[in-house]
Amino acid sequence: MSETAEENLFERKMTRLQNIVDALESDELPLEKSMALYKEGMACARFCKERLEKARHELTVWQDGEIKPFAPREEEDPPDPAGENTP
Amino acid sequence: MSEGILTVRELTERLRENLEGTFPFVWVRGEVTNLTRPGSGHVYFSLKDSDARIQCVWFLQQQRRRAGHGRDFDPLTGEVCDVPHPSPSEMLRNGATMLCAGRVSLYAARGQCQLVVELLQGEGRGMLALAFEERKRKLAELGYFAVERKRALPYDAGRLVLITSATGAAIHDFLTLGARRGSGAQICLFPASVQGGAAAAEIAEAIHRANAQGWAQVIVLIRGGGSLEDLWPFNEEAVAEAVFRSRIPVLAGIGHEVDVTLADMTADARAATPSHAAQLLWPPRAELAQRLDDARSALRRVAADRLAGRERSLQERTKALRWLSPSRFLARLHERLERMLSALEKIPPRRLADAEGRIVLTQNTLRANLVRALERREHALSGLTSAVENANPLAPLKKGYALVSTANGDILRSVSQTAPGREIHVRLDNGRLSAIVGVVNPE
Repeated sequence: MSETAEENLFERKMTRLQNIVDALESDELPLEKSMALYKEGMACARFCKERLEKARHELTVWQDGEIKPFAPREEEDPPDPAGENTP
Repeated sequence: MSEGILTVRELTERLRENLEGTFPFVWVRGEVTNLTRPGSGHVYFSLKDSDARIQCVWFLQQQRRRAGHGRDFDPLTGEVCDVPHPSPSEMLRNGATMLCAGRVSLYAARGQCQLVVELLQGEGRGMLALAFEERKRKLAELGYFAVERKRALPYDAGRLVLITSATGAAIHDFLTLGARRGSGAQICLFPASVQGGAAAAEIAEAIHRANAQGWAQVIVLIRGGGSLEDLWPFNEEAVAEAVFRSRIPVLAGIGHEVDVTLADMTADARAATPSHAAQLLWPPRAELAQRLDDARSALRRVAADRLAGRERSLQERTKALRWLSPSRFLARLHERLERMLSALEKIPPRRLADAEGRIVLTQNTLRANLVRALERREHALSGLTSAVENANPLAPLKKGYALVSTANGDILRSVSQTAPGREIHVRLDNGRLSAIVGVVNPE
């Protein structure tokens, strides 16, 4: 279990990105501020893209009173008695 | 035995009539054995106890009549179920304890007594169904299933506690489907038995612990399909109560679509299956990617619009500034002057001459007026001069008068001021003289 700052980062960055788009659309902001917001928005988008590309659910298990990494048991292939197909 | 000797046929017929008259409809509970399903579609099996056995037949017509009924109902409780339960035919297997209803008859071909089954159900079902209904009513009264207390699941849940068996099909299905969805969540598995006597307590305990830790955004309670007995822990009050008391929203996906447990009904959201639970928790990754693309395009477009707007406004202002520059101002003045000059050139010469004449006339008038004004002043000056002349005390001397004073300079206005022999001074117009008084004659 990570720090709270790390959680739901994708959704938070997406929300920030949407807010930036809204701000740029509605407000007459100074140019420097607009450009700063644009840069921040693009950084959010980049982060979200990378996050999506690497997205994986992180699995842990509560065991003996502590959190441990957990790998679900994959369904095993039926045994190959003759070993003929083994390269 | 006056009836004499019976044929086998006659005997079996008598026995059949007797049996059917005595046992037109009975309920029998027993363990299924010797189950056969030949191609005819009729089902043959035996029901047995520890030391007794009876042959049973379930004719195809009876099965069809039940199947054709359309709606599932419980012949014990009369409960009509909108969602079909597993059919008795599916539940019928060697070793299963079944509850059979029908008439006892005799199969003449073998001289064998048999139960002609009309209704058939899993043994536990009737009792469990009753218990389920009873409990459901109670929990409904306590408000467990109230729609208004259902909380929304978080979108693209990021932290979840998963309560299920670590080895079941449920966790496999859930994780397999979940792998292509969401933006990456942290899943903490709280392993719990999902069937058997200890299951309910373990599940309830896991829910309590998840709440005590408070880390999760959502608790996911899943289990693969099974018989009503298998799913029974999820109908236990302890589980329903733990779900009801959970401060963290609970998503339940227990069994197949057709299975509804009290835990399902109490949960904030109900998934039909463990896979469906994953669908409810996370949007497809492709959908997230599309949302992201849309947002990024919107950002680019709005930023480009803003920049274009700024550029337009800059151009306008630059133009305005050029228009207001000093050189432009001078040029404009010059232009104006040129225009006036050329307008002046166009004025006809006669008008100029007239103007000149008026100027000369005005000059003459001015001069005359000036001369007149000077003369008037000169005249006034000479008048004033003569007036001043007349006021001069020495002026009478010119006419022969004399100014007499004593020796110490006092003007002599009376004879008493002097005496014979005294010196006096006399001032005439052209000089002074001194004299001695000879005689004084006062008048």
